[in-house]
Amino acid sequence: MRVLVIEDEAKLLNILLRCLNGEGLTADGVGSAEEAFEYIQSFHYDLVILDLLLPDSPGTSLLRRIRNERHAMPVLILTARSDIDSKAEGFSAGADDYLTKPFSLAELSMRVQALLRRAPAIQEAVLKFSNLEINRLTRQVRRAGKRIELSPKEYSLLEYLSLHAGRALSRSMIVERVWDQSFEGLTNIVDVYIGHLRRKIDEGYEPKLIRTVRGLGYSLDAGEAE
Amino acid sequence: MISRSPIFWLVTLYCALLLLLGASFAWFTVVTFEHYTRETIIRETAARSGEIWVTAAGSLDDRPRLAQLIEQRFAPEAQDRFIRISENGHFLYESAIPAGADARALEIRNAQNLGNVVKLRLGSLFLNRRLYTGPQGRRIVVESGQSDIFAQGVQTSLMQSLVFGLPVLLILAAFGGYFLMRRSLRPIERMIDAAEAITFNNPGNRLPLAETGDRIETLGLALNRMLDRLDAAYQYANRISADAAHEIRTPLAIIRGELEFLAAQKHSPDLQATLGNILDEANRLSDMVEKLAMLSRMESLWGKHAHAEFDLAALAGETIDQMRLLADEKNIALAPLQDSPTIVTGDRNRLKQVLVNLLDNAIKYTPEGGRVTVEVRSHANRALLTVSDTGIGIAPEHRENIFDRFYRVSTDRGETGSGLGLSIAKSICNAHGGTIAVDSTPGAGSTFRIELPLSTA
Repeated sequence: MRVLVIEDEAKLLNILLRCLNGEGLTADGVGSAEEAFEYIQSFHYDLVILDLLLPDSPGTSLLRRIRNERHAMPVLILTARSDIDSKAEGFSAGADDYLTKPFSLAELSMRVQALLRRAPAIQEAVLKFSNLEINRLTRQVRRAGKRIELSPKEYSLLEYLSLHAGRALSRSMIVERVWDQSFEGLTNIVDVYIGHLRRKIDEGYEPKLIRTVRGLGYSLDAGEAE
Repeated sequence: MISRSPIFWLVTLYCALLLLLGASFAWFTVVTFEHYTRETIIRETAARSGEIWVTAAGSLDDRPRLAQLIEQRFAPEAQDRFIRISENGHFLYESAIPAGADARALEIRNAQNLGNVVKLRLGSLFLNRRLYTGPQGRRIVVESGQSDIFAQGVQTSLMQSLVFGLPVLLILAAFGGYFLMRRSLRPIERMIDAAEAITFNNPGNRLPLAETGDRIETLGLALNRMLDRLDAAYQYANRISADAAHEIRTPLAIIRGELEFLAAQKHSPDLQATLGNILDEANRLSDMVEKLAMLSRMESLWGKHAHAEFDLAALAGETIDQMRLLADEKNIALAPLQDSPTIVTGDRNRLKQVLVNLLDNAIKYTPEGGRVTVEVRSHANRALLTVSDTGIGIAPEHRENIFDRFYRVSTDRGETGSGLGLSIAKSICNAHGGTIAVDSTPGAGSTFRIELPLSTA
């Protein structure tokens, strides 16, 4: 899979490329809209990551040019503006997803993976981690064969963690997905729910599945503990 | 409405003064009139007695002729005059006594003893009695009298018209003035209404101008120019904070990215902890930048979002349920809401954010075992929402500032936050044409009160 990153800030471009390489993707980086257009005309890309604020032309007009040339690859927009209007403008220019600076690399990786998946992900109805079983059809959770009762919020939190198992999910990502926009910034509610979830699914069982990653958030990890 | 302001009492005092002035004017007029008529009558009677003597001197012994001459010339009966000519107490001629005259006083016959000229007032009659010496040394007394009964009639009606007319005139003037003032204040009333209605959602609105060409219009113009300048200053400040938030984003993204790479590697526990701390702070900074950007675009948010009608009580109930676990964690009683539907219009998500913020604060600053209560009700055309806690409270000196950006009551309250939550709450309330206020007793608890306009549809 080949990704083109268009970002004029060299340091940020470097970080993005390292992150994408870490995900096992081949990534090219350019710093201007003109260069980007030439790259896209010359090579095949499976995904474009585009900063909206470029020195030579606005990202949205580059995006329109790309779409006019009938390039249909997914485009992820990076921007420093988070208002609804600029989001709407990005989407109407042909973007597929949107990420506001500053973003966490974990979130970027997840969104890139989701965009590259193209076809709807085949997800199993039953997720298994060690001796934890989550049935997404019946919303039932079992640990070591024993049924565990979870509140709807606790279930949503566990499901979100398990769908991205092995990745550290930041509190704000969790709030945004499991709660709603109104809870933006209220990250202590995540800690409280993680505490409850731990008591229900980790207390008295081995191995401990929910891990705290300092500075990054939480992850569900069936693999070997550190 | 014109209230009982100092102006009201001044106007009352002014009216009383006018009434007093009017009364003294009336009194002065009546007195002057009376004096003038008396003087005139006295002069008239003196002049007339001379004319009577000239007329009568030739016919003193022919009484019928004398009477005829006098009647013809002076018509005493018709004009309330009294004329009498006598010689040694015998009346050569005597007209009828006019009404109101003191008839008994007129009985005095021995007028010779009274000197040459006598002026008397006998009841309503002014009498001029004069002694003439005629041919053959005859001593003739001519009495010429004039009743002031007509003048008195005129004086009475003058008095009446002044006593009744002046107050009526004054009252008419007062009412006329009042209504004129009301009329000329109407543009000001309209300006007050318009000024009250200007909020964050319509910062471009201006006061209606009266176009009367007077000072009220000038005032309106001046206020509108002031609003223009305030609007420009506000937008400038807004743009500055939006730009700042914007410019911070890219370097912050770089810092965060680099830190995440570092944190993903294996380090000694110390370094790992340090990296974690730095990442935590970077996250806090990101959060703050996001909130600042949100504050500065609150204005543009409003009006472009779909305005929905919804039940504030239901929204509060839903938020309470979602926050219950936070309260349970500290063993704080978070009572379920028991309120009737209260329909408001606005951005549901934003208002929920306000509720989340207030509840989060209430729970944060309430010690274990406390109580947090939410109430929603409607009063007149306002929806009232209160969030009360039994927490540590806010000292009076902080109460005014807690809605300011970055204002923190103190750093030793053991909680971290951006210091923006309440100013965001305030922006959202203002954008909905509402208000937010706090009431607090240190050590006993705080009550945050939100007022929003009820949906009018």
